[in-house]
Amino acid sequence: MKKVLVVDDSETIRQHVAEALTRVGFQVIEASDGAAGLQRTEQHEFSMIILDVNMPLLNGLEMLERLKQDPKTASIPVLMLTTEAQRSMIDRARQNGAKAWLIKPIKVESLVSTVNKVLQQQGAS
Amino acid sequence: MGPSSVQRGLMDTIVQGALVELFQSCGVAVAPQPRGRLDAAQLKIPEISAAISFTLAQSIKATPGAGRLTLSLPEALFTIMKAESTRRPQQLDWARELTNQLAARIKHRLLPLGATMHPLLPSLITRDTLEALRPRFPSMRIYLGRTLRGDVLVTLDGPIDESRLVYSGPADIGNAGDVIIF
Repeated sequence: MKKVLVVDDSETIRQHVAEALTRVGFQVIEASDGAAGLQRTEQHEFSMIILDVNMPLLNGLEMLERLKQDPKTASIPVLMLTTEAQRSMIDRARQNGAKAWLIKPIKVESLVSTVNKVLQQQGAS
Repeated sequence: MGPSSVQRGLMDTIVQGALVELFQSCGVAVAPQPRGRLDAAQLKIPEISAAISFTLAQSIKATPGAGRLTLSLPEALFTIMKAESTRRPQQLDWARELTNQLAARIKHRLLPLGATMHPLLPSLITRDTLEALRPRFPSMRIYLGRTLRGDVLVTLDGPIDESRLVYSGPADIGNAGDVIIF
């Protein structure tokens, strides 16, 4: 079963994402901030990481940079799920290796189809 | 018509538009009430409130000023909110997230008007905390929206000079619900 890490400071958002992905066969592990998210990557092997941007302790863009700098996590595809919509931020995430940017609120079907699409791309490359 | 009358009400349009769209995304219809007719002393503060502080700069060279946005909702409203989850969203956490999303929508509407807003992290506040601010309501922007399950209250306190909100072209931003695959 593929494991997905969801990092968001909103429990409600984590619940929504976890339920949607669990329903289609993923195992979901949750973390409420970037620092806790990094700890989870030391405890589990993830097929994908979904990151909020504005979070306490370590924000999503900082966590993305840390993930990509670490050879153990650099190849895990990362999706950004956030209220932020400015091109400069989206470009920063793309340059740092994120695979997609989803602007909240997002429909469950869009989330699931993006996760599957990115995993397919990852498998093909 | 002078520039000041052209600008009058622009913030109202921004905040009320953001509020309507936010709740529309949760399946709840909100009817904003005209701000001029609100009686701050008589306003009933709903049960659940969250706040988000922000900084706002109205030009590149301007020193950003600090402000705060609050969103208050009646508990009954959560019973009609669309949740794409079988578990009911935790009301307090959901209120915090809605405040975050409201601030983001206002931020994005301000960008084409040359104003850069940086919201910080949202937090819950008690009704008493908001009640303590009531004497300051007349100097704040207060917005009320009617729903089928009670009124939603928004307060906006900050250094917003409406006369300096000038359209400077479309901002390069995405929209809520967008998916951008790289």
